[in-house]
Amino acid sequence: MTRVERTPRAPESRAERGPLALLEELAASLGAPDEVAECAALAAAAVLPATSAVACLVGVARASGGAALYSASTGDARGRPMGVAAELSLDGARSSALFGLPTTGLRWAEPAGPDGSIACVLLQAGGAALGTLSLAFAADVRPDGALVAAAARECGRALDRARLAEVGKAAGARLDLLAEAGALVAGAPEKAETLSELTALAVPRLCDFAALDLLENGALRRLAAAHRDPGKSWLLRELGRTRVPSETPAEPAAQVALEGRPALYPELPEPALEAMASSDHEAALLRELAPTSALSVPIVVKGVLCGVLSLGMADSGRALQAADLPVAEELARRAAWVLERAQLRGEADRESGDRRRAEADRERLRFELKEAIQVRDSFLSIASHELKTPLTALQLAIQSAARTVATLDQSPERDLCEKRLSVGEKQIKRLNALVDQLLDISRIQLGRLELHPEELDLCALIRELAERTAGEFQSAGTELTIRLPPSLVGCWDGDRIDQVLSNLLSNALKYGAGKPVLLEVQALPGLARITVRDQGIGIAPEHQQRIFERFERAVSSRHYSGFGLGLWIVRRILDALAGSIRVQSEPGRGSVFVVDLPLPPARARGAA
Amino acid sequence: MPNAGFRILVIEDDQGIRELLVEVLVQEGYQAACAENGERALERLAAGEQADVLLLDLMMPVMDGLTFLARLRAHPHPRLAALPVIVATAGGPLLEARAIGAVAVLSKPVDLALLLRTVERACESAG
Repeated sequence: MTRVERTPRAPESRAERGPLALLEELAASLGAPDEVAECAALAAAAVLPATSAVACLVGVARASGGAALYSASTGDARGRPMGVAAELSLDGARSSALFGLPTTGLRWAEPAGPDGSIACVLLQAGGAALGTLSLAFAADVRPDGALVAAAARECGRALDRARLAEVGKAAGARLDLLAEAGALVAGAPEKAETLSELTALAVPRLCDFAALDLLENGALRRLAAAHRDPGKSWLLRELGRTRVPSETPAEPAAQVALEGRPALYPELPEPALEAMASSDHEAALLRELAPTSALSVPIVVKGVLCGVLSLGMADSGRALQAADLPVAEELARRAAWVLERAQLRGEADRESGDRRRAEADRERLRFELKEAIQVRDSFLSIASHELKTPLTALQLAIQSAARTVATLDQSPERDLCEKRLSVGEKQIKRLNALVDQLLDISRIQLGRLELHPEELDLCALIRELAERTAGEFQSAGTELTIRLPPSLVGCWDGDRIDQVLSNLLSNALKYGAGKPVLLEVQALPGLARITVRDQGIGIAPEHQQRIFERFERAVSSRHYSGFGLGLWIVRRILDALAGSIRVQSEPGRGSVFVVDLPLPPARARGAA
Repeated sequence: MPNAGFRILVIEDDQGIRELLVEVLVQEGYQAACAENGERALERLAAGEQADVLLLDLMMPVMDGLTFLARLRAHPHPRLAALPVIVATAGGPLLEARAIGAVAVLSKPVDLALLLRTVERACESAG
């Protein structure tokens, strides 16, 4: 490598204007070209006079790995230096494109001789090599190294701007494409139509042909295809008839379907094409289509591979590159939106159908329920009315007769009448109690056990109950002891609690074998506990749960009367009251029924 | 007789009960009359028939007891609107009856002694 003298014999024009002015001129003439090719040509033309070179070559690295050369020369350019400069420029551009050479500064190159000298400088911007600037100087010219370096810097900047503008333009075009795709998708009247239009959008801006396949039941089905030459679209459709990916694994779309990853073929040499064909027919079609480059990307909806978007180059000489991948993926994403929306619409249609059916079902059920409730309520009303009306008349008759008899003069006949009337009255009460029980069972079964809770003193209720039942206990010769706190106020349905306790007391009397019965009330935290204890026949362990069921009793119905429904009703009432009942018993030693009622703490007063 | 002068109107659809009640009330010294449904009772009261206490059944055809009670309470004549009513019913809307302003609600079959005590008390407060 020859070192070139730094003190050049500058030509007059250059000396007159000075290096700074030259550079300014250069920068101004480079202006703001928005294409790399234009910029490189301009740079070559501008650098030539500024540096007094006879030839100026700008080599530009291509994204595809190649290089392009742009040159400007004076009539003096000739011979070997020019060739060497061109070679160096191309090499430099290629290597900078391939390796992004980090070389900085000025490189002088041979030969400098009778034919002159050459200089080769890397053009770079922001640390990235963009290309080369090669200059050929006449033998009588001493190149100004600083000036060449400065010119190279200017060229590098201009090229960088042009490159960015180009990228921006391309990006802009792609953004336009994606924006159009987005608008298309947003409209999305019909899935197939929208996807066809979306596929067509890519042609010719992004590629020469495009195809969209849906993956359904393990097979690819071509939904849309577009070729820049409309006469070739049929090839795409024919090639894309329903196919199983595993049978043509070399085909890009099949590959994507199998692997779920994008497949990029910047070049498609003959053997690759042959491998893609699964038959002679397909091979012929492929030869006709003559793809030179291909890119397929997956269409993924909610994490599921639903299709493949394939782009290809044919006759435009362009190649699909890694840089095209993001745009292709964006297009695929928009296709995925269309599919997802179609799926959602399908689901929504199904759901709204289901909803309508369910609503109709509910409406029908509501109607039937309403009817059933009406029937049930009227049944209960009518049953109650119809059963109670004769009882009422009967009781009125007997009681009024008893009142009349009581006014008569004392006589054995009057006593007999009173006795008979008293039996009648008792039997009416018994019959009435049975009717009540039957009505209660109906209410419980029909879910109509209504509660009317009100604030009441449980102890007052029990004292009243005790008074009412005192006669029965007395006539049975059974002692009833009541143990109560002064008062225990809660919010309960008094009639229902009365019913529960009456039932338990009457059971204690019935099964108590005449021995003392104890009714006790305790206020416990959060609950009121009522205990009814007898010392009668007791209940065997195996019967202790059964007695709370319907028509069950622990003893034979031949010895004890009743429906066997009392405790079942009691339990259901306590269920409704959010209370509970349990029994502790030992045969022959009596039974203890424990009733717990919920008691809001604030209402507990005068606890025992 | 202590109850003499008090007039009780029995409103009851069941003939057996209606007649028994009237007889018993008369036996107890009241003046008793009866109507077989709410509508008839309302017509007669509006026409000027005197009553101090009403004994009302709830479940009746034509006009049931609750409707009768509501109409009575809304009657433009203050004497009618303020009439004390004792409800005696075999099931039915006891709470509503209470809410509309029955002085007592008894369930059927009603104990005669209790009924008479209630009527007596209602008469006292009405008189």
